[in-house]
Amino acid sequence: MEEDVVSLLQIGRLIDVQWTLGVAVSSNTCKNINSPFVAMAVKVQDSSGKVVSKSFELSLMEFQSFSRQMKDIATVLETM
Amino acid sequence: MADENKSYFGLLNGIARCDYYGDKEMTDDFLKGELYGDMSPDDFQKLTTRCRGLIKSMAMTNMDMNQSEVFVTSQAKKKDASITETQVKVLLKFWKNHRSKIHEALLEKCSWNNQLKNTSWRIDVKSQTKTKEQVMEPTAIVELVFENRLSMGKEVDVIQFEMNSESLRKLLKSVHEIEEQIEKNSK
Repeated sequence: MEEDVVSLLQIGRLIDVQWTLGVAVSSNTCKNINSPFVAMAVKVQDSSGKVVSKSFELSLMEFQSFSRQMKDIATVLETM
Repeated sequence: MADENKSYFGLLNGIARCDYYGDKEMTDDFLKGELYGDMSPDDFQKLTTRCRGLIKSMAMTNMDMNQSEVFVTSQAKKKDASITETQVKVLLKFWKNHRSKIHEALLEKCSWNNQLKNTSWRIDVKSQTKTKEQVMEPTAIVELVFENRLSMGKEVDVIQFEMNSESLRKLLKSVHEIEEQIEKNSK
């Protein structure tokens, strides 16, 4: 129980971001896909030192929205 | 004749909803009952197989309007034509409406990784911690929600992390690099 409370309070830190920009070219359902995507992997380390990685894929539109949000955060942080 | 075209258009739409948009209610039985009640089951089966084949061919190479017109017209001229001259126009009208939606549905079907569904964030200011008396350091707390379309129940996964200005700077550097590469490659 106590551990649960601790993990709730202690949010892990972002320690690494990796990315790949790729183009899906063809698949079994569609020969002409030609759709760009961004694949990202984030590594987060919690206070006990445990590292969790998550990977995900974004379409260009989704990436633009993600990028906008990160820039919004930067804008707010700068003004503080 | 007009009714026949209407039924054909309805059938094409129904097949698209069933095969590409995941509408499980659009079964063949349902479509037959609604649109081709008088047709024998065998003939209806043949008709739907032909329609499916035509849509699949157009979707497979994501035909634009010119390509689809050439393709469908040539199909109508074949000896064992899978489509009549009057159905050609209906099929092209259908393709004009559904081309991009079907393409998107196919794209979704071949992305098996986690998709980012939602990003939310807030800024906290730490005034003090147990270990040291910190100066007011603002920290961004970010929550990313992922969804995996491959899993049947659209499994949801969440990760939360905090970033100080330094780690945000690093993240933004990556974002800039990606943007530069996208720009470079889209030329």
